[in-house]
Amino acid sequence: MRENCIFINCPFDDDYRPLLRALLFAVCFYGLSPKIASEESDMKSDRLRRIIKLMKSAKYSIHDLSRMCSRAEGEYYRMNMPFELGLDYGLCGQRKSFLIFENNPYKLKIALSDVNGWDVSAHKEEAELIIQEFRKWYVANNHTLSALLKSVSSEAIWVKYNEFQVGLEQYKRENRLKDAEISVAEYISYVQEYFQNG
Amino acid sequence: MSIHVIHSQGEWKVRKEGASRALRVFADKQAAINFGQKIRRTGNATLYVHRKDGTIRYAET
Repeated sequence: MRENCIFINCPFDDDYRPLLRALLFAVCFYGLSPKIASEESDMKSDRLRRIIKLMKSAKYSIHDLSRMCSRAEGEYYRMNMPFELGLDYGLCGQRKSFLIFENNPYKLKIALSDVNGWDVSAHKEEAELIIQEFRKWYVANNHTLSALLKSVSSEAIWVKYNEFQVGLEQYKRENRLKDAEISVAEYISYVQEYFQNG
Repeated sequence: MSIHVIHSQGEWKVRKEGASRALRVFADKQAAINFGQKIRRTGNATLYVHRKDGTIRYAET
C-alpha cells in the first residue's frame, strides 16, 4: 500500500467528465498518483482482479456513489461503484482513508445506511465543489502533508485548474482532438506533465 | 498577459493570470465579461471566458 497512491472509483459517463477531470487535477496537484480502472481497460475478463490490485496499492480511496439513483423511469442505477466500495473496505478497511461522494447531502444514507459515520461529501455535480471537498478531506487525512501544501486553498487550486485549461485547449487544437477522444489515462498523463513542468 | 473570467463560489471573478487576487468580482457573468474586455483592450491581453465547470467557453485576443 503506497502513501502517494489514491484509488478512484467513479462513473465514466459524459456528464461526469467535468467532475472527474477537476478531481484528477486536484489529486495530481498534491503529487498523488491516481489509480483508476477506466473504461478503456474494461475489455478483459480479469477486470475485477486488476481493480483489486489497484485498491490494494493505494493508501487513499475515493468512491463516488452519485450515480446510485436512476434519473429516469426504467433506468437502472449503477451497481459497480457501491460494489467496489464494499470490496475495498473488506480488503483494506482500517488501513486506508476513504472519501465517499454523493450528489446531494444526506441522500446516500437512505440507500446505504451502513456508511453512517464515514466521510461522505456532496459535490452537487459542481467541479469547484468536488475540488473543495477533496482538499478538505485530503488535508485532514494526510498527517505528513507539508505546511506549504496545507496552506493552499481550494479556491487557489480551482483558479489554477481554470488557467490550466488554456494549455489543454492548445493541446487539443494542435493534435486535432475532440474532448471525448482524450482518455482518462491520456488526461492523467497530461496533468502530471503539467505539474512536473511547473 | 491573460485575463480570465472564472466562476467561483457563486460569483464571476475577473483575474489576471498568476495573480493572487481577483481584479473585480461580479454577481452577473455579462458584467464580468464586459469588465474583462475593457482590461483586455487596455492591456493588449487575451481574455478567456470560462464555463462554470472551469473549461474555456471562448477566448478573445
